[in-house]
Amino acid sequence: MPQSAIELRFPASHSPPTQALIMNWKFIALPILAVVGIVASAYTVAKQNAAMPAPPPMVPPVASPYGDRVSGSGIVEPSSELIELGAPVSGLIEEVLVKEGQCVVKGQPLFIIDRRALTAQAAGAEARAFAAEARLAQSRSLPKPETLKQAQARADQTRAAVRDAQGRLDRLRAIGEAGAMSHNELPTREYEVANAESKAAEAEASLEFVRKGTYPEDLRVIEADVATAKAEVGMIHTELDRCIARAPIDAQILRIDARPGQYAAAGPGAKTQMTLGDLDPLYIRVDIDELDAWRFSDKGKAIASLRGGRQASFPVSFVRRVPLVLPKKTLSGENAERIDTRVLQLIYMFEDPNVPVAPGQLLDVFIESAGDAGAPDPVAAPVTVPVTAPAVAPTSSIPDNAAETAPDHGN
Amino acid sequence: MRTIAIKMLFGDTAKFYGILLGLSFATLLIAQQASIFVGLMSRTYALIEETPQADLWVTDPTMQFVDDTKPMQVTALQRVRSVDGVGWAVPLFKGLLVAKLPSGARQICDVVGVDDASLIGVPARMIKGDVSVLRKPDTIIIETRGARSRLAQPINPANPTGPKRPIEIGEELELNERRAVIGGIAETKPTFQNVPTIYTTYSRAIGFAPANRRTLSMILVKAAPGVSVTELRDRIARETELAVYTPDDFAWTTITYWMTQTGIPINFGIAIALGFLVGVAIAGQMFYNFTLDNLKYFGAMKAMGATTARLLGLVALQGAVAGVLGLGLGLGVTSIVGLAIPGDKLAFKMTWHIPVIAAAAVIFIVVASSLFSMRRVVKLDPSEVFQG
Repeated sequence: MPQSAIELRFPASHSPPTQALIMNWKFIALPILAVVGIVASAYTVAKQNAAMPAPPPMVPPVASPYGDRVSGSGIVEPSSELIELGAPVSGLIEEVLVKEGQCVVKGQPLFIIDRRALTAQAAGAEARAFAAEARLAQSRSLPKPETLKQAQARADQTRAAVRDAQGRLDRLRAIGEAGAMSHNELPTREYEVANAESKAAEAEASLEFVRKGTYPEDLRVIEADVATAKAEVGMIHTELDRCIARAPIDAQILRIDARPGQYAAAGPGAKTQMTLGDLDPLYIRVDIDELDAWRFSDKGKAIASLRGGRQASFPVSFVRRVPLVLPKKTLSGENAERIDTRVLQLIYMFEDPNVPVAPGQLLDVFIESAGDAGAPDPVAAPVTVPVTAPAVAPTSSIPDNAAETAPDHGN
Repeated sequence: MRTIAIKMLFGDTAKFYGILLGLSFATLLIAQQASIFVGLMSRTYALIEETPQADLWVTDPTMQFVDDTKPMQVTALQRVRSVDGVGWAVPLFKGLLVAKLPSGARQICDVVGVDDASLIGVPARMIKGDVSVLRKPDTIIIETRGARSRLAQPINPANPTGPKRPIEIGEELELNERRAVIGGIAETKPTFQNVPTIYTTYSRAIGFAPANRRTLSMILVKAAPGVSVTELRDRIARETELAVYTPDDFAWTTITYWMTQTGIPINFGIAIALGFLVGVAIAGQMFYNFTLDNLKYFGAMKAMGATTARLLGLVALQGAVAGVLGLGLGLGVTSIVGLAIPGDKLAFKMTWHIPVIAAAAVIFIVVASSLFSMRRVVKLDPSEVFQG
């Protein structure tokens, strides 16, 4: 009874069916809504905090097989380094005799510069040399026998004339003692003799001149002319030969920029016409940051890894190091090259002669560093010893300095 | 007896809904504002979440947050690769560049340049096209939000201010006078600065960027198998003297920057506190009044022999029921709002902490107001009920 009395006092209890309905609605719907709400929040939390799916890498990134190592980027190059052949002389390219990829031997002609003008000059020079030689031969052929005989005959004639005049004078003098001659007859005969004698002397001199032929002094002048003309011919032939660019070593043609009809300029800064190099074996030039250089050891094993396409690594062996630390160049493709830091360059050789890489290709290189084997560089020794905490303080200024000094060196 | 307590609670419709509304509203305000705050903050490190492959992020030591790029020397990559325990290390470029759109408009874009070979850093969820398009020359990948909004193109080219359509694959942008062809569209997490993000390869990104001596923004590092990430972090930091972060550290560094350098936490803190006060004021007050109104029933029960402890249990039950219903409804509305509004309109992220904090606030409100109510029930003299 008391319970029902209390029931009756509820404000909504005057109409029990309606109230029951409301009670049911509240009893059922509200808890359901509340549970739905809590579940919704749990769903939201789960959905919004799900870990991102990791996309599989297109190509697995390059990883080092060595624990303690130095990493650098390397560029493949011929063991002869790249030979960038220029035109030996300026002029139009007449003919290209080789193809890209072709192997050539030392001295083999590669391309020819237009030679027409020089060929024409050579003809003239050769003619001049021929003329000079002809003159020399002509001079050497003197005296000619006919001329000599002629002069001899002339000399004989004049001597005969002297004797004739002398005979007549002698005969007159013999008569003259008998007084059977005119007074002017005698001098006339004397003059005749003198005249004939001087003519004989002249003819004798002429004979002597002809007999001597060409004088040695004159001959030397002509010989010098011949030598000059021949030298000119030789010079033009050398020029002609210079128009042919030849391979300086046994090598492979890597790139041809020369095409028939193009103008090739010679001289410093002129365009490269042909690039060649000896690909047997292939080398790789590795850049190592100057800050890592002290950890480098030429005893360590090394591999070079391809960057894209497919994952492949090739063992390489140490050849030499470039003693000068150089500014690293980043080719920007713009009109300025950016110089960021300095690098130690090392030359390594591909151990396998058939590696599928080409000169100019960029590879990642990992070099096993000596670790406990000891630093090869006496300069590096003080740094290598305290590897632990104290070493941090003295070396901490290096990156800042490098950052500040690099642009100065670069520019 | 418990049924009576529940009936008592549900029966007084006005007060019941008042209590429910107050608690729901407090839950809604607290959870909603906290979720938006967390959502905003999580956008600041979206790039880190998009790149789960990286165990460690190496940056310049002066970098304060993800978007604060301070490029390093290019050889830093090789130095990091030289550290023992590094599985792989790849470069990442990040920078803001101005893009010229096909319509001629200009738009600042966030350009991310990923390692040319592995393409690590490209978003996983491609909507159109494939990641491998980046192998084609001049190709870029954009994200859906940018394609729909800032990079959208006018339908009628003659009317550049008219209605717009999303930019499509095959269209070309110009980045610093260089051609950039859209090859793919990806779905990414929204970023805090909300500028369109362009993904391309590292070498191409450097080509797009104006000439700088230093271009390497970050290095992503994966530890070799079996190497402890934290040990590797310390070792890289020691050997290269660069800043090295785990993804969590980097995210927290970024969040800390925004929390300490902006007024965002104060604004949201005030909103959350207001929600809490509203809850206390409305629901607590209602609940107390409700108990006062029903004192006569408690008196009757006491007179019929119910112990005080039993009555207090009833009050606690009423409070718990109201609290659970209010919390559930509030969280439900919050979640529905958060799920319904698209992510590029509202930064909303509910972590498990938020429902827990909201529940704690509701429990506090309910417990506090119940305690006041209980005081009256304890002091109640059954004879009072029958005097009136």
